[in-house]
Amino acid sequence: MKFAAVRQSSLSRVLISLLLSLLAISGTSSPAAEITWVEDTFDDFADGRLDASGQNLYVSRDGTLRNIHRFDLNQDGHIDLVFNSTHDSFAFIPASVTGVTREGRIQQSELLVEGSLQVAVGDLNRDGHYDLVFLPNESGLQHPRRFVSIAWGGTDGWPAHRVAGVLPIRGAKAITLADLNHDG
Amino acid sequence: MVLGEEAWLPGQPPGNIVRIYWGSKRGYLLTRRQDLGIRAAIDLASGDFDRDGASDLAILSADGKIHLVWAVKSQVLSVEFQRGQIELPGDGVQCITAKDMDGDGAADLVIGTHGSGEVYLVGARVPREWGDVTSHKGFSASHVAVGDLDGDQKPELVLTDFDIGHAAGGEAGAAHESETSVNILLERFRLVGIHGTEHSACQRHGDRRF
Repeated sequence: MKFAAVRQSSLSRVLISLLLSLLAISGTSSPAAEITWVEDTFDDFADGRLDASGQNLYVSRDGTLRNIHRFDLNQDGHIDLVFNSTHDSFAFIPASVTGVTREGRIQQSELLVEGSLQVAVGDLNRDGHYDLVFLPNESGLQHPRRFVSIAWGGTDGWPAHRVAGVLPIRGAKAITLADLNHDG
Repeated sequence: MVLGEEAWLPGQPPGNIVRIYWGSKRGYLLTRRQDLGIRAAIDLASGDFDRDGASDLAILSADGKIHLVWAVKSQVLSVEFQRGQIELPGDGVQCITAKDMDGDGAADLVIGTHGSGEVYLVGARVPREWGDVTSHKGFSASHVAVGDLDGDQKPELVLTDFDIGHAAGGEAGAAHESETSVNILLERFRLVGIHGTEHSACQRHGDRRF
């Protein structure tokens, strides 16, 4: 669909119509001719119908075309994702790590773990760094089947690429760590 | 070890499912697991109760029992566990914590209750035996943490009692019937202190654990 910023008068539209009619009567065709419709007012567009039932575009009262879905909300060049919520409160609060520096300042960083009821801390892989095992909380918005998340610790902490959540549990209530089969 | 709801898959044992994901050099796999069934289980804790170098499991059930699962050396899955049970004197149990309370190197059990304010202590005795359950007047507790807060080499208990309503779908609602503070029991409950700040944080975030 091509749009030009040229306002077209009703007279020019009549002329175009006459020209098309004459071509049809004479039986002459012009396959190379390109017909450009120019519509730039609300009234222009009002007699038409947008593709896809108007899911993606609409015409504003001032005659401009606008996207219904504005993907890049903060105009940073990256597509943003928007989801609605039926609740006015947070059901999933991101896990965070908080520490105190030698100067007494509180440092806090978020982990890539969304919503948890409990966390168990232990060196699961015996590499000298604490690993974090998160018990998911129930939100009511999803099926009670959720996944235990493990944030594998390292010298750089618990970055997002070392957070794994593939162990399912249903209706999680509590979590603990133990070597029940003595295999180390 | 994760405590979940009642059996939801064919072949699972009756009761609330305690799911064990077995660790290995490759980490954890969805299929390397074992399910135990404990009727009305509400909380669990792990600790080395028999000083054999491996953590055992204690599962609290709403009917006032502690179900013990003793760690056993095994290279075969699934594992046949030796089990045990402790009867608690009262009802209204809410939470369980494992920590060495008497300095003998074996983890003991601390149980918080709702309503009566009783705190139960069960001391572990090697080999795989338990002392009498003692009851101490304290506060209702949805979770108990144990630590030496004042450096006197004696454990203190930090109790929080948080309750939150849930909608039919399970989503968290408003907090209700909660104590207004975190309670700290010092030196075998000789002194009771109150610390309000932490509890404010608990309420704000809907936490029930330390």
